[in-house]
Amino acid sequence: MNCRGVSRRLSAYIDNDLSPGIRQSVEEHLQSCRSCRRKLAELKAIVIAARNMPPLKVSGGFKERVLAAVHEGQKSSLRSGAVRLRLALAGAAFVTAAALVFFLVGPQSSSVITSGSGEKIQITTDSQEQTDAPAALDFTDDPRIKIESFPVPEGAAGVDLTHDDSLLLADSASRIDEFILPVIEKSRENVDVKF
Amino acid sequence: MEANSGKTKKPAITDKELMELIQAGDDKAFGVLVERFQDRLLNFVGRIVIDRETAEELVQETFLRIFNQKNSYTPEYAVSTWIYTIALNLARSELRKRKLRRFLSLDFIKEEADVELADKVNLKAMSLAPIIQRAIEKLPDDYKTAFILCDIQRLPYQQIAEVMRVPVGTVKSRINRARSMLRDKLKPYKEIYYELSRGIPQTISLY
Repeated sequence: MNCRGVSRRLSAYIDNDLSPGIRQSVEEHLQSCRSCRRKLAELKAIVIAARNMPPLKVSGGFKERVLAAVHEGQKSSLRSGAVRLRLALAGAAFVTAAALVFFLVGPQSSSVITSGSGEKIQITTDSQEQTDAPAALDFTDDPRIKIESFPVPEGAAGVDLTHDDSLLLADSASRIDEFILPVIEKSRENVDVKF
Repeated sequence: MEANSGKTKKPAITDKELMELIQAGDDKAFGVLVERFQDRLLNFVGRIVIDRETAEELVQETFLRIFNQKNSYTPEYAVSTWIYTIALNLARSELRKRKLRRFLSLDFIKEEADVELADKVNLKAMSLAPIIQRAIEKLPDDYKTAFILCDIQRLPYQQIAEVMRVPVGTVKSRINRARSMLRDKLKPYKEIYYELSRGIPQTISLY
């Protein structure tokens, strides 16, 4: 057996886990090879050192804390069982109440709106007072929405910039401002979002 | 010695008998199980996650799971195998969380630098145990677990294979690799630990 073969088996040799034949071959090699003997000694020393490490011990009152946690867990699982029961009862009560309201108020009303593309959209309301649903959604007076426009450079719109290597140059940020943002804005304008 | 021979020592209850009692609802038996495994588990989990406080929390969590899942134990496996498997799963989960936290915070770059520096500064001041502990800590998780179960917990290969859910051959190879890696990592301290191996028989009886 050569050094490589012995080296692979040194750990098993330490653990006495080799068959008698292989063990004998390893020992024969060890007798004639100083380097493998040294390696074996180092590996053995590591195993012994690991075994001699001072053992860790749990801190005082550990068992009592575990038992207390177990009992607390039992209590909380009983509690959570009671909570689950209460939640189930509350859920059942809610469903009953909802069913009652449905029968007292009557069937839902609905209105049909025709969108810009001729598609019919059904809006369902849950009370009689809301039958006058808006025929279209208009955000122009909504102060939360700010519409800004960007000047579109001539020829920029409709140009595919995805393969334009010049956009990778150092001043790409300014090019993004110059070309890409206006194109995005332009594309927004083309989207018809009317209902 | 002979004076004590009149006292017939009651044989200790086995782990499996203990589990049967626990499954039957015997809280006292659970207390005995905690006493029997608390330090063993701390020496296992504590070598994997290092941080003492976290290790003790994980051992406590292991016992809570043992109690809550007591009916899932089947005598097909040794009780210790089942317990080590639960502890290992918790330790692995803690390591995963820790790695993610370190990755997200990028603290590991600083930590590595600090460790290297500490190695150089405290080379002589440190005793051997923390040096070995640190070297073990740096092993890849699967090698580390195999090494701890074999060389610190002293479990047989077969049981390590059951705990780690890998074939026995894989266990042997991981232990071999772990020991070789430790040998490489501990090269600077060779003189210190080499002394330990003098004057001992060539093979070490494990079991």
